[in-house]
Amino acid sequence: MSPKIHRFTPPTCTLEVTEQKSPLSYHRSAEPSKQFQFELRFDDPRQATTKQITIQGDQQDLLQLQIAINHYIQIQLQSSFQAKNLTENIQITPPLTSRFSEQTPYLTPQGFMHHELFLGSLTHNSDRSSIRLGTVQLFDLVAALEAYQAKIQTLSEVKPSRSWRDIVLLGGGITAIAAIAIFTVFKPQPQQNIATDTSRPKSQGKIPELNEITPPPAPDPRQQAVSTPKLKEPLTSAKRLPPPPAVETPKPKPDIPDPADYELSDVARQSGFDTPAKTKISSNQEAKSASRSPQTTKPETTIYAKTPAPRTTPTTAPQAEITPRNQGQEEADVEIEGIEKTVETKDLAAPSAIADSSLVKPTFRIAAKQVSQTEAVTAYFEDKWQPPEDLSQSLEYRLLLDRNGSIKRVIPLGKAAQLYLSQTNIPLNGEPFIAPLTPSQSSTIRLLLNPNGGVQVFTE
Amino acid sequence: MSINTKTEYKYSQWQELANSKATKDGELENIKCHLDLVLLALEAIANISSEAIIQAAQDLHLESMIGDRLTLWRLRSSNPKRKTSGGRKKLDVEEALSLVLIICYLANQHQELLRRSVSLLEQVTEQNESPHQTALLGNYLDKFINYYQERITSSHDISPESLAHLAWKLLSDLLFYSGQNGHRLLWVAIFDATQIKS
Repeated sequence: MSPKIHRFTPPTCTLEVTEQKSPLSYHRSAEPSKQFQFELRFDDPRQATTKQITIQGDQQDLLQLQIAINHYIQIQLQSSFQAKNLTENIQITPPLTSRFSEQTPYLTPQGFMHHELFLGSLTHNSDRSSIRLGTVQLFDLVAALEAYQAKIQTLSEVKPSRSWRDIVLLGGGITAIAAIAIFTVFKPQPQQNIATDTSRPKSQGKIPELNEITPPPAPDPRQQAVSTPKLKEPLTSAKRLPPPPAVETPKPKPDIPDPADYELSDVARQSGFDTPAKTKISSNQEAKSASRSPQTTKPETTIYAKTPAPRTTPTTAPQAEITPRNQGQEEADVEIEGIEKTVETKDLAAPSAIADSSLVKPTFRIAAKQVSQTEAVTAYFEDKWQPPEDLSQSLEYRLLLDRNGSIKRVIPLGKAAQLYLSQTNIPLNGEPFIAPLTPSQSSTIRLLLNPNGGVQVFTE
Repeated sequence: MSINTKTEYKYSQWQELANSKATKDGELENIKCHLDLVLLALEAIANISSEAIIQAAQDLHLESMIGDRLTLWRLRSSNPKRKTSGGRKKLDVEEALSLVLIICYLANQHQELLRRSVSLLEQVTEQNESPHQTALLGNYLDKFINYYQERITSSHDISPESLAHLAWKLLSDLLFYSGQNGHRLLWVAIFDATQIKS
């Protein structure tokens, strides 16, 4: 239960809202959080840092402040259209001052371009009971409050879908223990994002791995990519085909059999980035190619030996507790058979491919690797991408990769992408990023970071 | 792209609001005056041309309201206090909403300039100096007064001081209209102002 911090930073003030939320609160209606705190700092560059004023309070206080400011702004704006103000100096008497008790914050105009904010019962560190704000400062304060309001609305729109997804997860035939385990591990994701905790120790690697299990889009690219090969041999195993839904259900427990059953080398477990998807595909290929010639098996194992991440090793253990070990073996079978099924249908559609199996193999390999590359990048940014509060459009970047998998160059596409580059958590040039590229892998990747936190990756 | 969809979304909300409130012709007349005044200030500070306004209308998919210079001229002439008034008698709610959207869209495009101007205005008033002695504010004031006297019939009723005061007031208002929620602020402000009058 770590706090969730929303920060809004127009040039002259900073509004920071801290919410202490329990994981279960996502399943409740949008009731106001009791552990809500806000802090509003006026960062006047002309003042010494020690003299800068900070206001603090709870949700109710923030609401009062919002009401007072909105009302004042509205009165100010409409006064420009009142004819009598054209012939005499515009001097607005605050109509609400008398109605409000002294505990309630309110504003009055101070001269022509300034405004006095009386703090009422709000907690502050000023020795006066009011703050003098310039028009630009007032505008920034309004902007911060509007951004906060917009954020609250977005969150209240997101919450139902999140709980719905959790309910589906729970109702999906997963045992109660597994569901609770996934749920509690699943919850820290937004918290980490918002707190921008980049210094997470590697031993916590199980969080991103379990995250990869939950997003529904994950299986689709894998299946699509797998369906591209044009293999002939698997036709013989067509009898063993399982019902298709079986591919969906075992997804939460993917890579248990891989290290154990297929004896990945230590190097394989300790290097590279991407996790279950790759190991799964590589093991499928191993199993498949084992039935063919040993020549094809070798290059594939060496290629994939580089891909599994260091996180893979620690994560397999806790997952094994959730899912019985023998299921892992079944799952591996199901995966292989699933692939063969798609391969078979492809064969029927393109019979010419059956003729030459030597042509077939490279196609298969490339398809599988491309999935790994995009998935690795997606997984990286799903973990790191935290959309800024004021972001309203998608950011698009072209990443030129070095052969060692690090980033050679980042090209922002569009002005917004350039502006927000520093907040994207794209690693610096030369920093470790994804596993080294194979000759067939594209060195150019297009990355799309959405304001809702979504990440899309395309190879170019 | 996102700005457009957002605007369209809010536009439909406003229609509802407008239909429920703006029924009296008198209110609409006042709305025309107010919008024309804000647009005049925006033109004076940001050198906005008719083309820019028409372009903004296209960006917001409001071509059906303001498709060319003639439509724009007739729309603005619907201000009863305009010297050219008579080219067009009625401004309906949808047209008023379109103007609100366009004003806020253009103000947003020139937000940096508005911020700089208001900041400067704050600074010179703090120092008890005349704002029109600075180049930026002086040019704005000259243009505003020129436009006002050229276009508004009752311009001789207002003293130069009051006109200057109105110019500064509208300038700081424009900064608020340039914000994310500016269109709502402008819409409510002109509505409330007309309610008070009538």
